[in-house]
Amino acid sequence: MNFKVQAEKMGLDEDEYVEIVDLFIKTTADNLLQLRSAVKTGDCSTIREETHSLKGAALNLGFWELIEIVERIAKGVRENSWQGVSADIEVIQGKIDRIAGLLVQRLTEDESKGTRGGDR
Amino acid sequence: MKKKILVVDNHPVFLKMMTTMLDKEGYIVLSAVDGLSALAVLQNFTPDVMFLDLIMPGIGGDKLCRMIRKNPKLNDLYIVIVSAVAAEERLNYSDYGADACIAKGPFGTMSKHILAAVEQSGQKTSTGQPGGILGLEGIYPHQITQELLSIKGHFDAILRSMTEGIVEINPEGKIIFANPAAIALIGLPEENLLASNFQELFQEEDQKRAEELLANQDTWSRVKSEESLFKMNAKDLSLSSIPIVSQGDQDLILLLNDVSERKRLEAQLLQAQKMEAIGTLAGGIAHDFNNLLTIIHTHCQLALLDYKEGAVLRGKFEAILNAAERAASLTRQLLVFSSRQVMEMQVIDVNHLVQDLEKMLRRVLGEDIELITALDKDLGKIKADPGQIEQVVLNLAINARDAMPKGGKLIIETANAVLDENSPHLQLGIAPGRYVFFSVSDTGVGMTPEIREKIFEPFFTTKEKGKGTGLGLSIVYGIVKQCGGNITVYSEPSEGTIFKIFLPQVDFALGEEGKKAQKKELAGGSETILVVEDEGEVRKLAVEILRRQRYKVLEAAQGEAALLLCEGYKEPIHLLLTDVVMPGLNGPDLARRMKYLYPGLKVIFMSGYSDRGIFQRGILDPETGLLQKPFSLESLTGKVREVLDH
Repeated sequence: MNFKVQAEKMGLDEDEYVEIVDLFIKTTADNLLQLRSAVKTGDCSTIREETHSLKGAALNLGFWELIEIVERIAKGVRENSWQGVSADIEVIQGKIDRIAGLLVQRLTEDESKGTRGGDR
Repeated sequence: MKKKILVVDNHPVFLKMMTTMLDKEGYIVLSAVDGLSALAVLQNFTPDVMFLDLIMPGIGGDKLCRMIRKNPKLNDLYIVIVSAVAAEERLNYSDYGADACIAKGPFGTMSKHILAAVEQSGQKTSTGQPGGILGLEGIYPHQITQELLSIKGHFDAILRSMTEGIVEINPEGKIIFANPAAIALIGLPEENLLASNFQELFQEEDQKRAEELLANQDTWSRVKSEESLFKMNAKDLSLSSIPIVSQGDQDLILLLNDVSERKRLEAQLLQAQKMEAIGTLAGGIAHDFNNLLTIIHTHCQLALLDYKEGAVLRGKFEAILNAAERAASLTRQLLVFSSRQVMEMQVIDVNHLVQDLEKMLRRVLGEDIELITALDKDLGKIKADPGQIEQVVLNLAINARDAMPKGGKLIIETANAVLDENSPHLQLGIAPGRYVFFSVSDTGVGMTPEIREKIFEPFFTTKEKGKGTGLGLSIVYGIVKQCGGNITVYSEPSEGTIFKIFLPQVDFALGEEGKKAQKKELAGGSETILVVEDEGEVRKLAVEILRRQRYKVLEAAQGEAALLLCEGYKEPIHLLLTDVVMPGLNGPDLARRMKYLYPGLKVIFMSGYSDRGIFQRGILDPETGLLQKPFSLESLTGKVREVLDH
């Protein structure tokens, strides 16, 4: 994932984009937490709301792979076919973790270059 | 000058992207996470452009748009809905009052449309013709959102159809949702209601109580306040609450029930029970009291026959007689108001009755009040007790007079009225049918709604102490109801009052009985009459009066004694004059048994109090006579002759 290219696509600076992705990861963490809990209790209403929220943000940021999995979860719940829903949540978690990893790597690089933090 | 922009969306990522991008472009940008927060921001910030999502918790984008459009201060605000579904479904965003719509999608594409919309905002005309939906190329199938919308629509339909008012308030006590029933109950437009403080909707005396209850949510779960009602918009409301957790905050769902109608019915029942109790009391008093009055009254009348005009004692007897008549009148009023007065039904013409009363009415009304009558010459007939209908007219006229201390006009109008299924009067509890309608209207001071609600209640009066019994209009009400009719009142302060009375029309012609009742001379005859009365003095008086009028009179103190007397008496008995309530065999049972012995026997019941069970809702068969106690020489002899001749 190239943060610079993604930022340009959105008309943002790379740093601005990084900040937004950081917020996305935090927000998504909460979405996933709620989703797991809702799947346990079979709370379809919460699942719909959380998948809606997650998908909207993913769409804004152009994370197409995430959107497909989120749609799959929603479809499973809609059709009362829960098999695979929990696994898909973990797939999303994996993808988010990967983005988070890249983000950390990017921030570490910045810190080592001294381009973030105090000079902003 | 830098444009000012407000972005409203509940997703932090979208908000961050928007504010970052717009900020970078040099605009002044504020954000809000939902409709309620946006309204708070708008109190101190007047943006040029507002971007908002359609689906948000609490006050959604659609409602927020409508609320803003009703605020003249924000007339020039350019509103842009940013929503994928709104775009995909081709929603007519101008219906919400928005100026443009952009489909949510990848931010790179969407941001161009956002900036274009900001530029466009400066060219907004006052008519705000909407352009096309922007960003449709970036939309992605929105199955989840459509589902959410569909479910929202489903719940909306349920909430809209509920008769119970439902309000959701946030932890600060601000209203973020109200269903149509709640809006109707509270009586404020939705745009004024949303974001307002719930407790401030109550009348001042209830606000503190509401505040305490809302602050005390833990102890205020589920049904509450049934015993302690809240006043709102002139209604009595019971409140229930259900705490809910919404996005980490504890909101409250409040259920509002209008119990005014139930309370009114309860009050009506209480009123009916009160009237029943007073009726029972009045009836009990009347039974003994009327016997005493009969003795006083008739003895006075007999005494007056023995004293010539100018005799010293004559004046004293006349004074006693007057007092007895006034006491009898008071007893009658109590009986009428409690619908226990037995009515002697006749077919009557209300026009004739009003014309007969005109002279007296003019005297009662005085010189400053002009009496105008507008009587329908083809008016139908009613079946009622003429004395009681006279009392209705008289009481209404007196009421009108008192409402016109500086003079005015009193108008009595009569007309035929046919009420069908579509008649608005049906709502007033008047059944479809043909009616004789008459109204009594005045140009007096009128009444407030509070007074209007209570005027038919017994003992309710606006007159000074000692100047009104509070029974006048109760009596009117009782009589009209007992005749199977209905009475309504229309009045506004300073606009006068009109009472409208509907009485069922009857087809047959005017009976003769009414005319016979007018006879003044003491009637007599030679028939045999059996008088049965347990009150010795009353019995003796009746016997004495009838014997004076040349009747052959037998007497008995009780029903059983009367039957024994009949067994030993071989001559015919033409008339039984009997009390109704007696120890042992009562009057009606005695009459039934005596009719076996004397098939053509005529019967007159004497009563100061009529039991409803005996007289079937107080309406007496015209072939059976009733002599109301206390009776006079004229009423006793007149009634006896009338029944014997029937």
